[in-house]
Amino acid sequence: MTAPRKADPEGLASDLHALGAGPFLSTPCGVLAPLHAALVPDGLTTVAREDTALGLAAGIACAGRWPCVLMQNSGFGQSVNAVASLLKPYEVSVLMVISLRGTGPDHTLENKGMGSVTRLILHELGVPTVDYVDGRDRENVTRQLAQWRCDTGPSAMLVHPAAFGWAT
Amino acid sequence: MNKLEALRLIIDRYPDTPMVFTTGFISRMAYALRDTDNHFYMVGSMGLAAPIGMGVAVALGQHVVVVDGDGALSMAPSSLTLMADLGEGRPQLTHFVLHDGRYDSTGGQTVAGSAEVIAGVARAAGYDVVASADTAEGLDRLLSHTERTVSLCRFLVVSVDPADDVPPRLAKPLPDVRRDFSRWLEQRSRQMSVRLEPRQGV
Repeated sequence: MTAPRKADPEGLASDLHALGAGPFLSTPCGVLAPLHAALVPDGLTTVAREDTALGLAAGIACAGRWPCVLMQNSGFGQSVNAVASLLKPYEVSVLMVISLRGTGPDHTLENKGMGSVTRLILHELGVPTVDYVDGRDRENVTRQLAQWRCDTGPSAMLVHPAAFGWAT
Repeated sequence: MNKLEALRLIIDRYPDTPMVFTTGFISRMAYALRDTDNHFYMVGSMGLAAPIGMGVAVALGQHVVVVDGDGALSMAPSSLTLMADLGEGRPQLTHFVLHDGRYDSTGGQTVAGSAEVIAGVARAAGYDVVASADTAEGLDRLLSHTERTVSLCRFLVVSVDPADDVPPRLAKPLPDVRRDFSRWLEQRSRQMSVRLEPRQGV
């Protein structure tokens, strides 16, 4: 087993572009901040709320694109209904990049709850997921995302807190 | 003017424009009045009609109509700040808000939040036109005037009476609503020679 390797945010951004993902919408998240920064030069729109971002993404997806929404799992928590009653039943292809606060090295109490249920909620909603733990996952994630590009419906990449380097 | 009359006027006026109808009675009525592929009917995700419409409008660079409800919009006013965030890139969006002061679809509870407050936020968010109408003739005049002389980025509060007869729920499967709408958008864009290529940002 190879040693953990910090993920390369510019590399991941490049992979997402190469796969045809975009445009990119983002809501605030410290774990995803390096990826957010890597996506800004090529155009990224910050949106105030996660459900608003998913609604905007749904319209963009209806128009034929494969939009990508970055969010913290706390934000996913308040936007679950947008996934459950819009993206999933209408089979709208949106890629969500969701950070898993409250897991691994993140022991913050306020994130523990969503840390426990994020994966479960996505599973119950029938949203496929792939984990981005650290840089070793780059190839596997890219391969999985390439398959989802052609699928119909939402999907999620789950980014672990230490992927880009966890700061306590 | 009741809700059905307002919807009929709006639908008749924009037969070739993408239209997003908010969840509840508005979608049901629109579906019953005329089901066409340029319509997207929401059945959940209350409050997201405007973001969906904005997404279509910015992706295609085309005018989109959103028919919202005062209750739905009050639930998610961040869609208005989204308009502000889009700034100079803001879309051509005619955002109707059918205002009856009630959550009609759930039994008529009073809407929290006033039309005046929401209109004030819309004005600050950068819609080029923020106006209201309470008769069919007034609405028709307003639409004609602004389309000719001002802009297609409009926030229009339409005062209506609550619904009397409400049609049943959508019979069309939801994936078909989305697929038909997407197919129509694609065909429409080809007709207008708009290229669906990846863009930088939104």
